[in-house]
Amino acid sequence: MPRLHEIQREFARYLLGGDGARIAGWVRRDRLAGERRAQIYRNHLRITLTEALGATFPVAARLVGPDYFAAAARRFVAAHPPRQPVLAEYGAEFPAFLETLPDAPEYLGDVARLEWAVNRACHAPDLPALDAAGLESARPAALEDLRLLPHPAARLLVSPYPVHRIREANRPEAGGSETVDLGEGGVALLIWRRGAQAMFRALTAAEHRFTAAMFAGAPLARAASLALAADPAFDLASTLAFLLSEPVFLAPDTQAAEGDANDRQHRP
Amino acid sequence: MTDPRVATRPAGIGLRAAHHDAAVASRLSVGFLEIHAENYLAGGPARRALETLRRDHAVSVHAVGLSLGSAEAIDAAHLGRVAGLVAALDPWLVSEHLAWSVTGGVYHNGLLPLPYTEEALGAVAANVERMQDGVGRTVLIENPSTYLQFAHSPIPEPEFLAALARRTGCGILLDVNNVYVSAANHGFDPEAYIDAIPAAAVGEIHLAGHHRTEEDGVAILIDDHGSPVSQSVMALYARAVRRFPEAPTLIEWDSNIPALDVLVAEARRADRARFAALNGAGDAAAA
Repeated sequence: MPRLHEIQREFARYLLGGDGARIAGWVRRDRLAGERRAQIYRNHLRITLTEALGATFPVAARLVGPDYFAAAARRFVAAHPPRQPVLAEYGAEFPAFLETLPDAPEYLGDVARLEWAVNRACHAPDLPALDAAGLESARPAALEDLRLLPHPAARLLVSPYPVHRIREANRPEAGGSETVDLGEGGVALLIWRRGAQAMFRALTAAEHRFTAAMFAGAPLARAASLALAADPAFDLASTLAFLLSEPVFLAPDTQAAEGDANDRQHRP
Repeated sequence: MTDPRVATRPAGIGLRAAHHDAAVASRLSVGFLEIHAENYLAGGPARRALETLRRDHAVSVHAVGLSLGSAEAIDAAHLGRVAGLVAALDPWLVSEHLAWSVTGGVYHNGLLPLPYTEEALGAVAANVERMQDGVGRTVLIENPSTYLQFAHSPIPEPEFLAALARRTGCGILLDVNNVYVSAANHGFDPEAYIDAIPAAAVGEIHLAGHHRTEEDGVAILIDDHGSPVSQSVMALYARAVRRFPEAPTLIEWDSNIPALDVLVAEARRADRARFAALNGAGDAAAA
């Protein structure tokens, strides 16, 4: 009889698509063949991980249909099996994987990236956010040197396709009659969470330059000059007012303590 | 060894995300709420709902992904996250499974079967001790539902669990539905199994539904937690209640999840069966 680690390695190989001959030989003989018994575990793995990916990427699943999605999920699971048991955190590589599939719509990967961003926003920790009053009471020495950390639920996504419109038109609760013109062109999205709800907003090119620079840790004056270079009409006051009206940046008292750790943990 | 904090309480229910809003909005009347640790590690709205419910309810943390049956040591990072949740909630009970899911650092979502050997006993005991050290308390270990047995598996499952409890000080979470499902799938006597479990070690009982399927003409029971507890499992539950009268009972429902009031009604049904079993009407309840 093989050692436990050998049994487990071989069982795992079978679960992810390998042949079951050795496993079958180690199973107690009775009315039902050993490989048929092992297959119950393999089916469970495939079904539950396909369901987990379908829960995180419902619009991608709808765009390609259930059979195509199940086949894609099976190949993805074999190539990128979970490395940890929190299934809400499984699937970071799925958008890029979808782009490698034949016959998939060209925008599928970016729609999945938006769904992943929404998923991460929904599961980010509940940390206090910076609002206008908080900024005032924090009294930064010089506003132009202000550096902020993004709230763990907030992130940016840029796509050459109108992925936010594609997602809205294809959400499971949508009727499916709406059409999206790909000629609308691309979009830069800010994604965040309000209460329990993931939100997003299409940013102008200048707003995106500003927010991306702030998220990357640039001082406010630098972020503003990048935005003004993109568009001389960039309105810093109204952009900042919007970003402080929603939970987009971390509150100052959590920036030092939790910012780094959460940035690592929730932005794979 | 029974956890000293375990006392007789009404049956509890497994809390699932689908019920967060209804559970927070209503004044739920159940003995306790049990959660899957892995669904509440990230924070956010789910964690907030749980912390709200924690104010009014005893909570049991049931981990599903630590893979105590792995030949390798359990993932220290994941154990750290589970320990953080336990520290934050100060739950009534903490539990895991007699099963494995991780090898070579890959998580194979599921509760995979073990050969019951001295080697496996040593591996599981070492991992139970790592878990207990990590969460800072003794834990309950649940008997699995299984679809295969290894040819070389010389230790009967109840003896394996009893030995694990003796070695590590852990308790046993007896899932009566799992006993029934495994007994049907492998042809052993479920009543003898329950009688072989050391009574003092049992700290919790699980009940759930299963369904019947056929593989190559052979009937197989699948533990899907997707329906009411079957009459046969309720009859076996009466025997378990008489043998482990102090262990609290939990209703689990994980697929085809019904409305919250259906789940609460199922907990009440378990309470009635428990009362009948402990007060001489067990045979009638089993009929």
